[in-house]
Amino acid sequence: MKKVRIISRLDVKGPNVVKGINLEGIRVVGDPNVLSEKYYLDGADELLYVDVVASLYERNNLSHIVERAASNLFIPLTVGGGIRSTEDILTLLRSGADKVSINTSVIKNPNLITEAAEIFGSQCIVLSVEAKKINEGFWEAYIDGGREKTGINVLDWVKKAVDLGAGEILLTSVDKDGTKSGFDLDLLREVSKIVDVPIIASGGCGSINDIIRCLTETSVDAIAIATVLHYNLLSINQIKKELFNKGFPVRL
Amino acid sequence: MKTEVGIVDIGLGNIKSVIHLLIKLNFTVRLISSISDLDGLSVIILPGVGAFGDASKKLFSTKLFDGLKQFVSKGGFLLGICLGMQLLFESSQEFGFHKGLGFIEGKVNKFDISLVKQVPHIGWNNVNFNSKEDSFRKLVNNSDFYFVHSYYVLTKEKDFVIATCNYNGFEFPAAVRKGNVFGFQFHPEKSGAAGIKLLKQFFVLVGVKNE
Repeated sequence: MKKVRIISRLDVKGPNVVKGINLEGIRVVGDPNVLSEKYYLDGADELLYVDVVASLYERNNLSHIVERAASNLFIPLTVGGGIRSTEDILTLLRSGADKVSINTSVIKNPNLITEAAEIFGSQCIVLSVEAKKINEGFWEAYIDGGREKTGINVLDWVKKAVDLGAGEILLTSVDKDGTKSGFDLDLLREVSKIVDVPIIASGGCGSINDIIRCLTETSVDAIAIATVLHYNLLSINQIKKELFNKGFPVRL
Repeated sequence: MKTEVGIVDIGLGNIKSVIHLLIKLNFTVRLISSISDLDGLSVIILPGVGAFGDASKKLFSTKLFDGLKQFVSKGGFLLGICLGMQLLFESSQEFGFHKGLGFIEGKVNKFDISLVKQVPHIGWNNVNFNSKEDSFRKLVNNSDFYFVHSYYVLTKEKDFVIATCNYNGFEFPAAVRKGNVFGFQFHPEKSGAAGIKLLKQFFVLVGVKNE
């Protein structure tokens, strides 16, 4: 049976892993290589690296971190932030990434999704969505690391993107990010109704109970967590053991 | 002296992980991008990310298509991973009709979303090894391995299916072996400890020393 994935998310700024609240106000929390290895050894199912200042430098700068991770961490690596073209994607895959996560560029040019999926396969292309709740049933898509609004309805956008070839969705709640107040369950449920690709829930985890609620009340495929790991509130091993004891399918 | 293992590199995706895992297992690596790179090797890995059509075309244009067939007929061992395993079969329908290496009878089909509920099949799933390759079964039977694919192989040659995986009630071949040709649908180089154990055993099976 397919297992629920516990993904460790590392937002990277230059040489550091950082963490913010509502995708801003970032603080340095550690070294990407040290943290990655720790989470790998602790049982992380995947590692997700996001370059949070890529738009400032107009490119993704995580190749070296990915190379290092690929050399000794034998689990899937996803990289995002500032990816603009299929050349960028190829560079990251050749560095050791297995999947790429893209937001800003595909909002501006949705055809990039199809172009990339045709060359690399849909399973390689993760649509990253930063969703901010506007009112009941309506979330607005943000770009540029949660800095810029687009006026686009998330529910319309995810359907279009999956039709174009996105193989997976990384769904981040801008409202919940870093707050430890639980995931945006409505958002996750609404998007699940619309698309048939795996959804990775991101933003808001503060406890194992938040994860249990998310898995029980939505059909997401994976959980991406950051705050609880980087601030040593929970460990992956601890999370998985508890999920296993409660009957959830996890890889131990 | 370390044994050299070949990895087919047709420029389409992440092969770094396979390279690094082989190095970790104490082999040296030769990247293969044309037919002349095949000389003197006894084991070759055909990794795979991307689309069947692109990969198939690249294998043709580099003459590796025939090169790999000759390599196997002369006794070389070939391991296809993910797309690489699919390329071992006869054909695929991904973005059009494309020809595979044809070592094993069968076709590559897209998962039927009405059966499996979600495509691609992404994530960790347990693999059931059968007694056709008992050493794998004894080592890692029922362990979780990492899958990331939208297509699976459909073959009448059940004798060559050495492991299966169940995805939401749909069973498909997870590993195959026909003579010198092996295939893993999952990524052993992305499957943590289980993958490392399996690959180590693969090299033991094919008689390649790693010291």
